[in-house]
Amino acid sequence: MDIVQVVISGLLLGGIYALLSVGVTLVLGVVKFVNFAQGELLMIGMYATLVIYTGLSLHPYLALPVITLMMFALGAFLHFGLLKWTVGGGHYIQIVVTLGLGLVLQSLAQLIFGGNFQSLGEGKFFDSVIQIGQIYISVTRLITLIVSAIVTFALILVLDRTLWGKAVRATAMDQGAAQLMGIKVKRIYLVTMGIGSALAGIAGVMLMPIYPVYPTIGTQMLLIGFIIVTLGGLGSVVGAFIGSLIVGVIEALAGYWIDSAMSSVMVYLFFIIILLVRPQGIMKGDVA
Amino acid sequence: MSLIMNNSHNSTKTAENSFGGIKKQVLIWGTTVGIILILGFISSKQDYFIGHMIIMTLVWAALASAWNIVGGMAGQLSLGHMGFFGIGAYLSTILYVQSGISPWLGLLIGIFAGGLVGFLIGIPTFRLEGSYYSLATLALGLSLYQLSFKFSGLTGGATGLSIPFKPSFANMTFSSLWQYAILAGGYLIIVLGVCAYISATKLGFQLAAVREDAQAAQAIGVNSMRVKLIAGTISGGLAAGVGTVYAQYILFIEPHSALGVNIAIQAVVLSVVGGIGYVYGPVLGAIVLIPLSQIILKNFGGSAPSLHILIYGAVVIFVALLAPKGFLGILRQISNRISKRSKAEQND
Repeated sequence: MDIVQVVISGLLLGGIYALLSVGVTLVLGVVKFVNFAQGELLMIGMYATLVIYTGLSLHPYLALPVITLMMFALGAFLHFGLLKWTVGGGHYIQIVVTLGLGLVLQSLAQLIFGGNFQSLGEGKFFDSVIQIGQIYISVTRLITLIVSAIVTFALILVLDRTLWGKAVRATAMDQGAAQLMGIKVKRIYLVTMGIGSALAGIAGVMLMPIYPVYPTIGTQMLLIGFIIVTLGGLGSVVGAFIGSLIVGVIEALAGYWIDSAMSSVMVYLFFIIILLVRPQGIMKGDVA
Repeated sequence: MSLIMNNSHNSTKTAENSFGGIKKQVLIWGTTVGIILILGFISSKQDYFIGHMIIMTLVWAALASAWNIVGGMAGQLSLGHMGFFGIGAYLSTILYVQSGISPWLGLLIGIFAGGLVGFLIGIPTFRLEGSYYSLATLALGLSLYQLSFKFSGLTGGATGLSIPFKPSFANMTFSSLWQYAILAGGYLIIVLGVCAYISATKLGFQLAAVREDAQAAQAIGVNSMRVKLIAGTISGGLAAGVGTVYAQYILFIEPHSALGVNIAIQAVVLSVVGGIGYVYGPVLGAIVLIPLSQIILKNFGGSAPSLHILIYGAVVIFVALLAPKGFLGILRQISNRISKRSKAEQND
């Protein structure tokens, strides 16, 4: 029975990872852009949730639409003001520039909020639990998984069924050809970067009731996000979602069998194994 | 052809002026050794702050130069050099504190271990295109960081390890700052010597070819996997040596200072700002940024402890976008323009 509980907590953990990695894979697949500041965008989303909660005592889930819009605007702004210059310049310069951006955002957070772990506080409405037989499911985490499933499904639907989604997929396949077909590639890039940032923001909102925030939280989340994207197949939204659940379960099982401090090390080891065995990932790398 | 462009200062000399090349080499190395001796002298005369600043600049210059072999010359952006740094720092310290093995031997063992890890991490990643090497090295560094907490019996966990202060040459422990300046400077010269040697030999040209266009390099017969592995191995080994030097200077290591991700990022920042791929680029970056960050830390460390990180981030963005060859690239452009102008005047 224990093992079922562990697997379920792993799946719930995967829900948070999914929000982050779906954004990473979308940006990577469409814009061919490696964003190493994605973790810092999640951090901003968490701090924004914290500020809205402590300042206006607004429940994080009610703040979700505001923060999503805010993060979309931030992502589009960062793309327009800075990152668009590195699109098409190769991964090396993209990593260097977004690493620099990450440093700037991290140290700003440190200057504004200090370096301590901050959380929404104990109790309130964050710790209710559903009990099914001997299995306990945290409501907050369950909501997170549901939200991330809905967001992923909605994104796939948009990409698959709308004309705009078709344009995005065309851009992902061949941006030159897409441009010749009259698709406004630059606008697609802008919106995609906005969506990637908004997804990181949603992940931040959903993570905040579960996990404390601190300025450097982004680094580890970023790496896990990219590991999931590699596992899922670069650019595959479905792959990123499934990959998140797999990584969540691996992390939970490693924590159960070995040591909770070792769970992330096991995920990194798993990443090396993926690179050796199946570097192209589990899904074919088309967007959606 | 941009393919065989090499970034070394003095590697593209033709046979007829190779004598001039040797002269220039002697000049460069003589100046470098001289500068380090002068720095050692200064650190013996000035107050502690200046001496510490000089040593930290030399240590970081050595780490960034080691990083530059794989990150610059081979064009494989490592984000895991805190791992190699930490391997060197922890190995020599553990061997010294627990078994009494001299840090000099520990330095060599650390270099060997760092090189081995640098080789192993290259195997799954160098055959893939894209950013896998960056991700895998980051995963390596973060894993070692976690493991240093897990194996706290060996590493002291979060409390860290202290090295007893028993000044002697055999213990690589010294009582005055200038001796550490010579130690760090001497190690920097070794690293720079390896860098200069690589960029002057066939390996340097092969690395440049792989960096500029891996497929074209393969097509003209460069085994890109092999040369990248060599670069990764040398880079990892040399970075581990810097860790030992650092540990012997501070006499205390803990996970954050010896395995923190900021170490790797610092190496990247210094190299990018100074001039990626140039032999002396990372040194220039360290000379500019380390004193700056130390001064900022000294003056604003209390009120704004992360201000220097903010400046690092901003500088690296600006340099990467506006001057992708770094400060050294700008300097070389200026000097080229001047020499062209004077030549044109001579011809008139």
